[in-house]
Amino acid sequence: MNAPLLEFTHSASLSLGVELELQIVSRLDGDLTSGAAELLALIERRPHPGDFKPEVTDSMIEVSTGIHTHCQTLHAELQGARAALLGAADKLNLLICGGGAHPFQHWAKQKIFDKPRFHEVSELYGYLAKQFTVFGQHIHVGCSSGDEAMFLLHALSRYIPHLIALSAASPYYQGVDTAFETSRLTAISAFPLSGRAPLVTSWEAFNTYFADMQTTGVVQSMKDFYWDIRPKPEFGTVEIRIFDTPLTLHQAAALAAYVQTLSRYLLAERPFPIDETLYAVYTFNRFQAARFGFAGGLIDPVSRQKRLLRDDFIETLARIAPHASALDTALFLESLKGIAESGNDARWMRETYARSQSLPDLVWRQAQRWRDSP
Amino acid sequence: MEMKTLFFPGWPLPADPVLGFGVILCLAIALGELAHRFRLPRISAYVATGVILSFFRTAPQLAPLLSPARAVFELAFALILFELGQRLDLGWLRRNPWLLACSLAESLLAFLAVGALMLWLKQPVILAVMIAAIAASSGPAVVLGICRDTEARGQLTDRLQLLTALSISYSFVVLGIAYAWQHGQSSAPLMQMLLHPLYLIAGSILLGSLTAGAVLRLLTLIRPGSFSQTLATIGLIIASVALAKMLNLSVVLSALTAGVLSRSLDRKRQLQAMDYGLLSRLALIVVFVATGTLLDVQQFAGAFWPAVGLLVVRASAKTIGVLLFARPSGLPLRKASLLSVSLLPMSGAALLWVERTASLWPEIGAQLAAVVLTALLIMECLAPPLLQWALHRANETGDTA
Repeated sequence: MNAPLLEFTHSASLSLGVELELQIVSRLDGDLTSGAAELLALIERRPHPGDFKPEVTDSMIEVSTGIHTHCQTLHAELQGARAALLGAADKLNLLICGGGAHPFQHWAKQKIFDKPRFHEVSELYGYLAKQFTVFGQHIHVGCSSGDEAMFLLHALSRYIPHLIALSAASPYYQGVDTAFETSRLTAISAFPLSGRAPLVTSWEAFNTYFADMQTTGVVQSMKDFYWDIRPKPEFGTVEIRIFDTPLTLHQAAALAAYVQTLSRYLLAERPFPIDETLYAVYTFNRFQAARFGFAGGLIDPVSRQKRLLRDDFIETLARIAPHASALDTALFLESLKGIAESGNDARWMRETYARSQSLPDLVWRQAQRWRDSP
Repeated sequence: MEMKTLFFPGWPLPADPVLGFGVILCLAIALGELAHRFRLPRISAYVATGVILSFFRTAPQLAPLLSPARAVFELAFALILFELGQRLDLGWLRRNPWLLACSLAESLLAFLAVGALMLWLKQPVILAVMIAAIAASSGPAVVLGICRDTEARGQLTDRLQLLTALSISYSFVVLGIAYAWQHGQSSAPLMQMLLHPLYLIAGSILLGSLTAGAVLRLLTLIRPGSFSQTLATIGLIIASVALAKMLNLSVVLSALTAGVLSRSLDRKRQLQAMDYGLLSRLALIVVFVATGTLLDVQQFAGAFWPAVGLLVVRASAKTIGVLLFARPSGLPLRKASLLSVSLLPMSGAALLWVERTASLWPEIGAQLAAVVLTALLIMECLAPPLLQWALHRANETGDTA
């Protein structure tokens, strides 16, 4: 059987799109609650910015933006979408919050959203599908060709630890402090096709690989790959899926700004070769970032030197500064620098919990933060 | 031999009410699990246990076991109302005023429709008002019991609990006024006619507020999230129930007020983490078994058709009220229909009202009992499975249920 070739849709290089998976929480006890169906019905009554979709469980709602060239307009669209979502949530007495995982929900109580694909996923993965009640941000970067997409996919993998540490917002999981900055990543790792993509560097080679996976029956479609970074041929993008959903929209936009600036730098300067050496240190770096955040270690795949993740990130910011001024992302990157120096969302969550000693109170404050922050 | 009598008990054994309580509890739980196996709500089996017991109420050996039922019933009912009150978020009414409209509509329509039916059936006005006021509310114990039993969460569940708590409050106020009116009819002095309901309503709310204040004060002294918080709260509720009875106030209203206020004044969200778990389940079993024993199956035949008429009229009125405001309050029509089914349970508080009325005016009390208790009996049989079905259809029950 011959699998049909995946066609890579052309899109404007460095254009951006963002998806955010958000938690739907009950005001009564701060626990996750089903509400996606009612929220969607209410939001769709009138026109609004952003595009809302249900997700695998009924206590999750996904908002995605259109295609943007500038992060400022992307941020503005997210703010408009937030206003629409909060209007509906208020009517239904629901709270909406960011964060990579709910701090104390119990996965057995999650309801699978009533849609055939979600029931199939639930059937196949069993308890994993419910344990997968984790909330991520996906960032799409437009690519002019499939070959460019494959280059960007591998080159960006060098910076995955930065992206993990910047977005980490799930230190608590199932009611305990996991000691990780992001517990969401370990939940994803349980899936068979998670982790890194294979080292194929051209779109033609990727098609061969995909056809092979499909004819052997390993996958049915691109949707079955849960890689940290994957190509999205129908959008003409590379999709980065490593982020925890941040606690604020500004942070979501700032992460998009960093990815956009990095991509411009990588495409223009091609600073290192794409080969297996990139991946030799990949899982080590990934673990360090998930566990220790910016205080973790990072082994540079090219120089093989170990250094502090924070230092590597700040040095990267300096190196890509010219591209930041070209894209007008400098202000967003400045805020990320502040986060690397003074603490990410995971740290904010730990400090907040330390004050009240109550996880429901933490959830409530997360929702306030999501509502009131820029 | 004389020595024997010193330590052997006399025969037959003297019946100890606590023994009866234990045996009945085991019986109820066993029947509950049996019901669950047939996908019926456990609480239906608890009511059935009580009804079976009530057949033996005249048996000389069992009579002393049943007499404490009333006191335990009130206590457990108060705990349930407190818990329900805590789930009532007054801020929601501010954020979505259409909900208040919906609540007023479904209760008022049910009140007017049932009242009109009773007048048409040539019942005295005072009786029509009392029956209509009792019928206007939904049953807090059935609602909370089924929601817990099925681990329900979601929009239908939240709205059901809100509307139930509100309807119970309206019903109480109208009944208070009806009492005042009846005092006037029985030519009591004007002062008494005004003061009785005022004392009842204002006093109960005041007692509830004080209880809420005490609960919140006490919680700050105990480590958050510990089970001691829950136990301390329950201790305070029990004390508050006793005070309400000593002061001749309403247990129902003060417990509900205590629940509502302890939540809305809880600025530090200390109560959110509290889980009444096992104790709440025990209270529910007690309430339903006691309801069963207090239902008088012998009276069933007498007022069967008026009671059926009442239930049909009530169900239609509540459905219209809910559907009227479904869209503006943001509820899809499908869930709104399920919500109107969910509101069908009748309140076990009717038992307390019937008793209170009978103690003040025996003749009216007897007439009230005939219609209301028959309707209640029918609903105790039908409503729990209906409610369970509705929550299931709304996809709001937990998977383990």
